[in-house]
Amino acid sequence: MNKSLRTELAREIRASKSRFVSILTMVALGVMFLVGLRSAAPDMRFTADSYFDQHRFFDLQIYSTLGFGPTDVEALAALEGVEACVGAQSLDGTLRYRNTEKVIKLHSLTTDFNVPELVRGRLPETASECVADALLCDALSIEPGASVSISASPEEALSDDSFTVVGIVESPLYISLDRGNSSLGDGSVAGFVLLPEAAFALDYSTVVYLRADGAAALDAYSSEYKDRIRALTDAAEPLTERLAAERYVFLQVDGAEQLSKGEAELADARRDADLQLAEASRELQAGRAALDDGWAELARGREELRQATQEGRQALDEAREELNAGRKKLRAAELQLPIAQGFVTMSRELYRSNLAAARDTVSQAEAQVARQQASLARAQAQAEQAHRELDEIREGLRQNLIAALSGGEQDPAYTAEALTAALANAALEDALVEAAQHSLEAAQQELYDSRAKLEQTRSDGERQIAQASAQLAAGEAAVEEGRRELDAGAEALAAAQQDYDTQVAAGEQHLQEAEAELQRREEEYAAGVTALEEAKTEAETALAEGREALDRAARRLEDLAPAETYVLDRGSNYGFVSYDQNAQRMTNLARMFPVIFYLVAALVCLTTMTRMVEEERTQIGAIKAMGYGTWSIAAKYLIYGALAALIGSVLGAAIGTVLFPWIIFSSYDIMYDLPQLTLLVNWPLCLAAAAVGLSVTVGATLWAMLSTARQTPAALLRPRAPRPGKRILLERIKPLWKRMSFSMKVSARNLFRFKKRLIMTVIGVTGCTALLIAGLGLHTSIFNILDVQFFDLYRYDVLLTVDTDTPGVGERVEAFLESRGETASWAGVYNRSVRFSANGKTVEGYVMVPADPAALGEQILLRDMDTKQPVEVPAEGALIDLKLAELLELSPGDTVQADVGRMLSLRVDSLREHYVYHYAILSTAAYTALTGETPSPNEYLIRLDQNDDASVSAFCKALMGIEGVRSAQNKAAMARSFRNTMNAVDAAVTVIFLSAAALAFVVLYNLTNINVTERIRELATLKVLGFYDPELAMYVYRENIVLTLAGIILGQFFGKYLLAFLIRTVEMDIVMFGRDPHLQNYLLSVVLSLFFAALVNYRMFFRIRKIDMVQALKSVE
Amino acid sequence: MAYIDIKNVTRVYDTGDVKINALSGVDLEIERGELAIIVGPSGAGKTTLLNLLGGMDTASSGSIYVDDRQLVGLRGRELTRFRRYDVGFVFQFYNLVGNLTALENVELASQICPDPMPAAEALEKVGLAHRLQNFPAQLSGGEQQRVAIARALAKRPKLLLCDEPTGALDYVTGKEVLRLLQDTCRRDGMTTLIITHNSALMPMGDRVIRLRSGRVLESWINRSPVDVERIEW
Repeated sequence: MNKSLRTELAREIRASKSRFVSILTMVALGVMFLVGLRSAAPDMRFTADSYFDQHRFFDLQIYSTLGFGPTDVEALAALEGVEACVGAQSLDGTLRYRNTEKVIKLHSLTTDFNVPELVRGRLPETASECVADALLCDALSIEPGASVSISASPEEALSDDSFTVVGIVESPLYISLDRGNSSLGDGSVAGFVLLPEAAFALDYSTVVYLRADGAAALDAYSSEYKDRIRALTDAAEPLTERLAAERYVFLQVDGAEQLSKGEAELADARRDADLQLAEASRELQAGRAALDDGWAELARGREELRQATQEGRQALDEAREELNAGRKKLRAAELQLPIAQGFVTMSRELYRSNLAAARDTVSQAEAQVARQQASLARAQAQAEQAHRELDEIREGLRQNLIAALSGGEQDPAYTAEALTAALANAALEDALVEAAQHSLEAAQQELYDSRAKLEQTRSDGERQIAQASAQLAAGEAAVEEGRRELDAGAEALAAAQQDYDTQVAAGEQHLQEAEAELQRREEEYAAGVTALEEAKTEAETALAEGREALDRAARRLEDLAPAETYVLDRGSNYGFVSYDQNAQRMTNLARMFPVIFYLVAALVCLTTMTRMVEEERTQIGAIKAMGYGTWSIAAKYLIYGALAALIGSVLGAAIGTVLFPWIIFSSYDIMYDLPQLTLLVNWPLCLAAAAVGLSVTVGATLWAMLSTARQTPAALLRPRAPRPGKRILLERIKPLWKRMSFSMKVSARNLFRFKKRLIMTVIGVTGCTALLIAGLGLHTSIFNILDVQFFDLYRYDVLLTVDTDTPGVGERVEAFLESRGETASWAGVYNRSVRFSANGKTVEGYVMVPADPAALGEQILLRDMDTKQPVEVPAEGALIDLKLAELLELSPGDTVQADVGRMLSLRVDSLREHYVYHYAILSTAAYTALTGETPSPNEYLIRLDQNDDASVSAFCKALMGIEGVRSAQNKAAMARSFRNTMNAVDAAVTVIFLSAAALAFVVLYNLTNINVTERIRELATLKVLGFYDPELAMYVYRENIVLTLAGIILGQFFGKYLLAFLIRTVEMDIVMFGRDPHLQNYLLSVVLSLFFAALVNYRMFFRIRKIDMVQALKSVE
Repeated sequence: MAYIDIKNVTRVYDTGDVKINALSGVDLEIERGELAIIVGPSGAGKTTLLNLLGGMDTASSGSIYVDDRQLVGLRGRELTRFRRYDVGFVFQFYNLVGNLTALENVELASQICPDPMPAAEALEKVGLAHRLQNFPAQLSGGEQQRVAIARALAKRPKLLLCDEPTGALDYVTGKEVLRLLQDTCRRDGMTTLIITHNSALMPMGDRVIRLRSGRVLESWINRSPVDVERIEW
């Protein structure tokens, strides 16, 4: 290729910018689409694979119903091809945080396996610390530092139940949002928690993780990897089975041994306990006896004390009495003393008066004597008489005196009597003399007597006084003595009393002390008794527990079944698999779709290049005529096409490699916890796509070139034989043909004249329309179902989940619902997560048993997919959703297995319209007949009168206050979150849609451009003939419009199938996309295609207007 | 004023760097019903002049009157209108629409005129009544050119412009075509301009104009035009 040809090439490109750009764009779009869509899945897989390798994800996980002992793990580690191996724990459990309980998965932290990605906080350092799932933490608003209580199933697997969350993590075990199922609670797992190995109290591992030698170097989604893992699985399976069998035997033997040892231990324990108890009891009895003795002694002591006290007191009393008697005597003596004193005084008085009287008497007697002597003398006369009487009276007086002397008293009368008596008779004178004598004598006597008497009285008195005084003195002395004695007695008494008191007090204190001591010992004894009782109960309980444990162990041993083992590869990890499936979905999408796309683009490129060569036929002829070789002429076109294709390929590959995987990955990123996407340049694919683009363009050029260049220059320079006109089939139908307007006839004939262009245009427009329909259709299929599902079918507003293990929760909830005015209606259902299988396929889903089928119908519209007629919950058999039926290839009358821990065989009765998740609805009777259980509702579907967000969330909050309520969800919020997950697919759809639109535009533009270029001479002729610009444009457009319409119509059918195909590829298992033909999509695709056509035609109008008649007609074609 | 009155017409093609004077001041007159032959060597400006007359191009300056209608200064749609109603073109390479039959090619023109000659009649006039339904590819060159003439005539134009109508035809056929043109002019009074580089054709015209280098070299009226049959070249 020489300089002028090079210049010519550069000029050509500059001159035909739009053609160059359109070829470039089409190749770019085609390559971009192909490379982009095809790169998405490998990029996704590579990113995931690196992530898994980085986080030391397992290659195999091995489960055994009997667990694994340490030696088992070692044996597995020793297996050939195993790089690393670890025993770990993987259990179901529940986590409670602030009154919310969630079912979770518990895993032990393994340093070299399934290493978690720390989002926040740190890893556990002690056995009471854990890290929790970021998703779970989000749901429960758990922050690092929160205290949670965790229980495992079986309960004994954890030694403690309170843990501190110290970190929030993501785990390679759970890269998807789905956390799997559990036999606990409602079956759905809310998240996972990673605990240090030390937190577990199990002496075996529940799972063993293996990594295969060199597997990390392989792409985990490749078949090499799968082969290697298959080989390892094949090796691990028999070993695992052998180990499990050995473990079974070991557990049996060990169990029996343990059991007998346990029995022995229990017996020992019982004996020991009995012995100890007996000993203790004996000790207690001895204590009792001692205590009783003590009490007796105390009583005796008390008695002694009492006696002693009494005696003492008696003695004291006696002493006191004596003292008192003494005191009384003393007082009597004292009292005697004044008497004696008085006596003395009286004696003295008496003495004095007696003395005075005696003296008187003496004086009287002296007087008497004197008088008597006188009288005597007088009486002497008479005396002789008186003397005789006197004698007698003397006699009497003597006697009287004697009497007086003996008796003390002196009665003078006697004298008189005697005197009188003597006087009486005779001798009175004699008597008188005598009397007078006597009287004298008497008087003398009396005087004498009185003197004597005086003397007597004196001596008597003096004696008497002395006697009285002596008596007084003696009395006084005695009183004194008595007093002294009394004082001494009192003193002695006081001393005795004191002594007594002291002794009594001492005795009492001693007794009290003894009693207190006894009391204390009594208490000790009581404590001893209680302790013994307790010890007894304790021992009983311990023994009973031991017994129970032994029984349990025995039962377990009895029930011990040979282990079931599962050697599972990564295919058992939901995240891994669903991610793979999503990537696969992308692969499926990338399989056919871009090819169609690419074909359309390539076809148009081909047409364009062919056309270009044909256009320049004359020039080729001229250059050839100058003597240039075919190849140097061809070079220009080849380079032109190659350049456009190459630039387009590079651009397309670059954009496709980056943009598509990025968009698709970002959408999937919502559902998966994965790091930044790693972009891989798929060189073979890029090169292949570029090669195809290049070869199509260059090949077409070459082909056109060769067929052109083969002709002689002369032939080339001659005007090309006009393409012969031909009658078309339509003309044979005379009535129709006649009726057609002239321009229609022209168009009709033109259409069939350029068959290649016709086919190209129709294919192009068909393809684009189909792509548009598919894109739009996918979008609406995805999002319309959400509306249909969540707002047409689901008529409830709140989904309430309750814990049926809480007694009375159903009644409480139902009472609450009945009492609230805002409840429009509600239905209780039993809902259980199950695994459906039939025809060798397995699908996760739910079994739903409504308490009242009619009430369920109020909350969920049960209807037929096609007829939209209501269907009923069958009395027997199951009502399943259409998608489930499709997935498992079921039709009414077939049987599907539902795994609820054991297999239930459900007969499919009828199908219904349902889009999200899979349900088999059974009547209570049917469920009971299958399982023998009568289910009580664990979910309530509630419709409210007001269903705006605020009302619903207020209602939910009120519901959450009821004990036993697990969760109350707002349906609208569920719909929103579902919509978010579906955005992933929609992103891919948007990419498809935009690409399709771009392609549609470019294809139409290019084809119209060719149409105009190819017929420029014809158009110029028409222009010369005087066609106005619009008429001229219509002349071209009419064909375009017809072709576009044809393409659009064909595209409708093609699009319908493409959409159906795409839906099946992109659809996820849990979701059924809409199958309804959404008329508006078809209309929209028509409108869009027409719009693009109009846009292209508008652009073309200027081109047509600019056609230079002179130039066009001057040159010879 | 003559039926066609051209005064001091210039046409400069300005390609930016170079200015090419295709016509540099042409004056000429042609009366109604005349057959005018314009001869000149390549590059003399024959075609340019024809294009200006036919409303396919506009003059840079001067005035062109056709039947008292000034063409200079007309714009797109007015020019198209002029072409549509007043001019019939015959090209060297016929420019028939290959996908249309002879009749349809004529109809292509007649359908845009208010008062066209029926297409069949036009073809009958050019002697192709028996080939109405043939496609151009099925016709000989002369027949094709006759279809082209029929197409031009069907519009009943004011003037018929023919650019080297025999250029692609052999001697006999060419003669037949020229004869048709001459007859048409004479019989229907159709003002006809024939552009040719073949000076031998000059005697057949009522008026002869010779061009050279964008100017009228000479122009004369031929009092006794010769029938085409008698001309040899």
